[in-house]
Amino acid sequence: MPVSYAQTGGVGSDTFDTLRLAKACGRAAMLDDSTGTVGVGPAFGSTDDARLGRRVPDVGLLNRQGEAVRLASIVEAAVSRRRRLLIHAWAPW
Amino acid sequence: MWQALNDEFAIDGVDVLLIGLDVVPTNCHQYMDRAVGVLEAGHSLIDTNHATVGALGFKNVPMSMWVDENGTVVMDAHHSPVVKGWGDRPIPEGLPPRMEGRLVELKKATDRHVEYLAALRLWVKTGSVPLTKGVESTKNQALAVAAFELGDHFRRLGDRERSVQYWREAHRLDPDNWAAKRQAWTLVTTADGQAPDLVQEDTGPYEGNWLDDLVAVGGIDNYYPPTDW
Repeated sequence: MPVSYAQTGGVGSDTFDTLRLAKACGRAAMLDDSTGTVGVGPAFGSTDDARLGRRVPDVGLLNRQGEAVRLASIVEAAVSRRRRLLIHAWAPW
Repeated sequence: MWQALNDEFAIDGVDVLLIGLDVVPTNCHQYMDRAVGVLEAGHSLIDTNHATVGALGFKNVPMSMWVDENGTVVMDAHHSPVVKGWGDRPIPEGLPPRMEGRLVELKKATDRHVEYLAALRLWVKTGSVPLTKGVESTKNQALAVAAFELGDHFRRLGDRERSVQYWREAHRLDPDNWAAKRQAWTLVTTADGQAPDLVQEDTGPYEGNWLDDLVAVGGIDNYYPPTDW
């Protein structure tokens, strides 16, 4: 079955590969079987998913101009300057 | 506020990175515009996929994470009140009952912003962090993130029926993911062209609403994950 990926980008060539890879990585995955779309969640249920003491996970973000920015690039820039980061989440709702 | 905190912390080597969560990025712009120009533009960004919910643990707002100079998480996702709570504010007379009820609940919150800022400033000044344990996901919590992702995918495609189906599933799987609930509710309750609705009362196809769900979990002090600071 052809498959599209909700947000995470291509992680496999078809639905089966996507679900198998997500499972192998310990990540949650959910399939909409009527369209072949897979949503992939985070890892769970093991120490591998712990963030404390580990590198900040990377995610894709947008800047005010609508351009893609990787969180990893922000963290890398901070590390190169020996700066610490306070990451603060807010929402308009 | 963030300008002042950023200036204060910058001297000791800490930069502030603000991340606004909203699947409609323009909803964040007016708030960002107040910060951009005071914060570097690259330090005020938008998470349009709620990617930080699953990856960083930001299941409600405001929440924060502290990162050391090696890029390592030293304080996992936590509730981060940096301004005084609602406790001392009077409730205006003549409000609709549900709006009054919302303010009554908000005023019950234990105001911990002084305590939080003290812990934050201690880390900024000395690198000392409170004894904390990391936040790990259960299977249902992780599946809720996957379901939210599917729902948002179908929302972007204009498939409202499937979008609602998966967002409802996300809410069922992880009722503590207030970001997923508030995002869905506000899209229903906000009139076209208006700023996102904060009351979130008549939530249409979704179960629950802000006030009733808050009361159901035992009130405002159970609204955020327990904190260690």
